[in-house]
Amino acid sequence: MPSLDPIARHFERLCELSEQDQKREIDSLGLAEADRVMLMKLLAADRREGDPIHAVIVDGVAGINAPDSIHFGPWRLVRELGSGGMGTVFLAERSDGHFEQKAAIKLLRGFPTSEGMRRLRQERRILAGLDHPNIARLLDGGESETGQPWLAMEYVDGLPLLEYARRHAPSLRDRLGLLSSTLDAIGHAHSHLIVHRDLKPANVLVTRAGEVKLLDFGIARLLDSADELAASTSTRIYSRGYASPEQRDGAAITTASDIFSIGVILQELLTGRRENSAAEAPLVPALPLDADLAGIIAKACAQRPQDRYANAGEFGADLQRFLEGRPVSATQLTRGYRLRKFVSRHRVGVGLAALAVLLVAVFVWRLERERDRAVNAELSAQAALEASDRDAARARASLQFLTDAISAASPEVAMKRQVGVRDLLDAARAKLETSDTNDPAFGQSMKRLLAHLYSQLGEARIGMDLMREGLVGVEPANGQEALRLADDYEEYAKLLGVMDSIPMAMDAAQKANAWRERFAPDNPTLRVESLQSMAMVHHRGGDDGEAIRLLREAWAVPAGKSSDEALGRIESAQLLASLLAVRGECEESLQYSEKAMALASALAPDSPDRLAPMRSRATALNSCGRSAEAEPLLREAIALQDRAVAAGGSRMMNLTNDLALTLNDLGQYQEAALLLQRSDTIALDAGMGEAEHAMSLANLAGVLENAGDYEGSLTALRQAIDLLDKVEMDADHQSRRRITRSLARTLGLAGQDDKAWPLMQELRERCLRIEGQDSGEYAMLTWQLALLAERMGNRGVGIGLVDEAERLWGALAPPSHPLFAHVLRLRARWAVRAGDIAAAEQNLREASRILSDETASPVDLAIVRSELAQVLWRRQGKAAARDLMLAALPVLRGALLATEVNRVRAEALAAQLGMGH
Amino acid sequence: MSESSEHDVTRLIDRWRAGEEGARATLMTLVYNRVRAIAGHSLRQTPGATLSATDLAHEALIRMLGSNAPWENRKHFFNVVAQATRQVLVDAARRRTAGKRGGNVEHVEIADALNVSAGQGDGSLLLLDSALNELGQSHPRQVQMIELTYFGGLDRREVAASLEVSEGTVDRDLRLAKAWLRNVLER
Repeated sequence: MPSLDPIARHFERLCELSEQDQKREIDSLGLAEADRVMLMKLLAADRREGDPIHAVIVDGVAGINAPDSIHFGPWRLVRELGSGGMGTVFLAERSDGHFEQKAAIKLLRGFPTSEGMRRLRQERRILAGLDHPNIARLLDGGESETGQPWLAMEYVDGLPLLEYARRHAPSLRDRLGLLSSTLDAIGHAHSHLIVHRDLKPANVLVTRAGEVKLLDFGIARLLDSADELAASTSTRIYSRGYASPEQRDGAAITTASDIFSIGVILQELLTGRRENSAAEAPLVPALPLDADLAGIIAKACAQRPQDRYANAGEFGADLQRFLEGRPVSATQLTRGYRLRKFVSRHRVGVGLAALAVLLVAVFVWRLERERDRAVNAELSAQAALEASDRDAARARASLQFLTDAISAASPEVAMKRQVGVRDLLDAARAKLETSDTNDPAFGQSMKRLLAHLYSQLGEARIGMDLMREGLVGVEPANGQEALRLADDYEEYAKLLGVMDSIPMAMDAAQKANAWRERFAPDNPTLRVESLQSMAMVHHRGGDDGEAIRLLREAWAVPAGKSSDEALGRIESAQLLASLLAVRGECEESLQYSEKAMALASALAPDSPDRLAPMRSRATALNSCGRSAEAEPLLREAIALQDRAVAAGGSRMMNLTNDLALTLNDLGQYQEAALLLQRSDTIALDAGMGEAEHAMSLANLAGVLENAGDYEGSLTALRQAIDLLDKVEMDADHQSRRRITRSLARTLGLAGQDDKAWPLMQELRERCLRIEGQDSGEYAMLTWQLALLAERMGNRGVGIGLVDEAERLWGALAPPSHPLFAHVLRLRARWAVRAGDIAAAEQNLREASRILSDETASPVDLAIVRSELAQVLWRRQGKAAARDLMLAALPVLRGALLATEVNRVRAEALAAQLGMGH
Repeated sequence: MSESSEHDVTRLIDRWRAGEEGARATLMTLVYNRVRAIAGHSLRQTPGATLSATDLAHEALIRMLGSNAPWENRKHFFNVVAQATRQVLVDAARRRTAGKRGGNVEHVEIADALNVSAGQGDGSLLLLDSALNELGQSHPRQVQMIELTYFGGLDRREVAASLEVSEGTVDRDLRLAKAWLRNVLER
C-alpha cells in the first residue's frame, strides 16, 4: 500500500514544471527508491493526454445493458437485434443443435427492477394467450440463473413498416393490405380483451413475403386487470405522436386507443407524415390522399373515442369498401379536398369553365324588399323637406312627379310593365340632368333612388353611375338619415361588385354596416342584410370561405315573423346553397336549398321572390350530379321569370345559362349551345361587365366544343380574350387562365396542335406556381397535355403524362369516377398505336364498365362503345363491332354535330361496317 | 418498486444529517435501487450512446428531489448518489465478468460481442473500483472527490462546497488521485 503523503507535497510542486525540470528536481530530492519510482510514475501519468478514468466509467455505463449470460433455456444468444421500452431483443438459436429454429429473445435492459420483471412476466402471459398469424408468436420463457426473466418469440425477419414502405414503395392497394393485416391482428388481441397501447410503425414488421407481424406487447394491458386502476407511472409510457388523446391525458384507455394509433400509422404509411409534423420531409414515397381515405383516417383519429371506429373489424371493412370503390362510412371531407366533389359531378370538358359563370350570377340575385323601404323612406324625407324653408312649391311638384312615377312602379305592377317603367326612369333621369342645380341635395337623393330602381331592372352600370353621383359628398345629419344612406351604400356595394370593383365594393359594404351597427344595433333584418351584402362582396373578391362564414352568421340571426325577416331568411339560405354548390359541398347545398324552398312556399305562386330559391335549388342539384332533376326546375323558373317579371334582363340570362349548362351535363349539346347563344344576346343588352361577358362566352365556347363546332368555339374564345384584354385582366387571373385553357384545348381539337401545345404548357407552369400541384386545375392541365400529346403522337412524353394525370386525379376523385374511364380510353389509343390491340380492348372494356354507372353521361358511354367497336372489328370481326355500334350510333347522332371528332370517327367506322344511315 | 417521493428522500436526508445511522443506510439502498432503474431507463432513448454516469446521477437528483431543493440536501445527496452510481456500475461489471468466466472460447467471444462496450471495459472498471478502495484506506477525501467528480458530475466548485474545502484543495487532491489511479489503470 503506497503511502502518498511523503510524495504528495513534491508532486504538487513538480507537476507544474517541464519534464526536464522535473527530472532534475527529483534527483535532488534524495528520496527512497520506491518513493522516487512512484513519484516519477505519477508525474508521467499526469503528463499524459486524455482521461482514462472517464473512459472506463463511460464504458461501464454503456455496458449496463448487456445480458448476464447467453444461455436461456435451450436457446443461445447470437446477436442483438434492437432495444426499446424496458427490454432488449436478441437473435437466438437453439443450442442443442436439434432444430434450425431461430427465436427473438427479449430481456430486460440493465438490471431487473421489480417493475421491469413484472412487466416482462405480464407480456409473457399476454402473448401466451394470443395465437394469430400476424402476431409474433410466443415460443418459450423463463428466468435465468441470475433471476432475470426472459421470453422467446418467433423471430421475424422483416423490416419495420415504414422502412419497408421506403424500400419497396408499395402501391396504395398493397399498403392498405398491410394495414388490414395489422387490423386483423389487433382485432384478435382486442377479442382477448388485450389493448396493445404502444402501436407504432416500429412495432409492425413486414417480412420479405410481405406478411405483417405485430410486436411488442410490452405495455399491453389486460382490460380486466386490476392493475388498470392503479395510478402507476407505467401508464404514462407511450410513444409520442401515436398516442391517443386519452393516453396523453392519462385517462382510461380502451381498444379505441389502439384504433387511434392505427389511424396515425395509416396516414404515415400513405403520406409519409403524421398530422402534426408537416414540416419534415416525407418518410416514405408519398401517395396522394384520396378524400375518402382522409375521411377514414379522420374517423379513426377522432378526438373522442366514441367517434372512432367501434372496432378493428369496422375499420378494416371501410378500407375494403374504399378499395372496391364503394362509399365509405367515414364521409367527412378534410379541407383541401372539396374540389374532388366538384370535379366528380361535372363533365371533363366544360366543367370548370361553368364554375365561372355560376360565380358571376350569384351576386345579382337579390330580393326586392330593399326597394320598398328605400322608396318609403324617400317619401318621408320629401315630406320633411317640405316642412323646411325651401321652395315648397318646387318640392311639392317634385314629390308629385316622383310619387306618380313610383306608384306606377309599385312591386307587382312595375316589373310586369318593364318597358313602361324603363321609359319612366329614363325620363326622370334626363330631367335630373337638365334641371337647375340650386338644390343639389335633392338631385342627389333622386339619383340614389333611381339607382335602386335601375338596379332592380338589372341595369347595373347605370345604377352604379347614378349611385356614385348620388352619394358623393353626402353625409348624414342624424341616425335616420344614416340608416337610409346605409341602404344606399349597400346597393352601391352590390352594383360595384357586379361591375368588378371589389375594393370599392368592400368599402361601401363596410360603411353601410358601420352605420347600421351604430344606429340600429338591435335590428335583425338590417343585421342580416349587412352580413349578406358583405358576404357577397367577399364572394366577388374571391374569398368564398369568408362569404360562407358570414352567411351562416346571417342564417343564425333569430328571425321574427315579419315578411321582411322571412325574405331575409330565404335569401340567406339560397345564397348559402349557391355558394356551397359552387364549392362542391353538394349535400349541404341541397339542405339549404330545401330550407329556402320550404320558406318560399309561403309566398304567392307567381311571386318573383320564388325565383331565387328555385335557382339555388337547381344549382344544388347540379352540383350533386342530379342534373336530370335540375332541368325541369330551371325550365319552370324561366317560365315564371318570363311571366312575372320580364323576358330579358340579367336574371333571365342567368337562368338561361344555368339551363344551358345543365343540358350540357346531360349531353344535350346542341340545345345547350342554342340557349347560350340566346343568353349571350341578353347579356349584351343588360350591359354586364366585360369580365362576366367573357365568362359567358367561354361557356358558350365550351358547349360548342362539346357539340363539335370547333370554329364557333374558337371564335367565341377569341372574343372572350379580347374582352379580357379590354379590361386589362392579368394573365394570372383565374378566369383568364381558364379561358386560355379552353382556347388551347379547342385549338388542339381543331387540329392546331402546334399552337395548342406551348400554350397549354405555359398555363400548367403558371398553375403550378399559383395553385400548386395538388389543385384540380393542375390535374386538368396535365390531362389536357396528355390528350394533346397523344394526338401529336408524342409517345415519350405522352405516356408519362397519362401516368401523371392518373396519379393526380387519383387524389381528387374516387376510382369509380368517369374521369378514369377517359384515362383508360387514352391508354387504349396508345395501345392501338403500339399495335397492342389486346391491351386496347381490355382498357376500353374497363372504361365501358365504369361508364355503365347510371350517373355517367350516356354520350361518353356511346363514344367508348364506338371505340371498342373499332378494336373488336380487328380482333373478332364485323359482327361483334356492329352490335356495339347499333347501341352507340343513335346516341352520338342525337348529341353531337357531324364535325365532332368522335362522331366523325364513329361514322367512318359505321360506313366501313356497311351500316348506312 | 415503489416510487420514492421527494418528501421521503428529503426526510431521510434530514434524519441522516441529524446523525441517525439507520437513515443513511436506508437512503443508500433507496438511491441504489433508483439509480439502477434509471440506468436501464434512461439509456432507452439512446442505446449504446455514451451517456455518462454523471448524467445518471443528475437524473436521479432531479427525479428525487426536484430542481428547487435546498443546497444542503443537494450537497449531501450527491455524496450518496455518487457512491451509489459507482456501486451500480461495478456490480454490473462484476456480474458480466462472472458470466464470462468458465466458458469456452466461443462462449466468451459471443458474450463479448453481446456487450455493447468494447469488451475491455469491465476489467478496467473493476480495477478502478479496487484501486479506489485501496486509496480510500489512506486518503478517503481524495476518493470522495473522485466519486463526486466522475460519478456525481459535480464541478470543482461544487465538490469544494460539498466537502467544505477550498477549491485549490480540490484541484491539488484530484490531480494527485487521478495520476495515481491512472497509473494503476495503465500499468
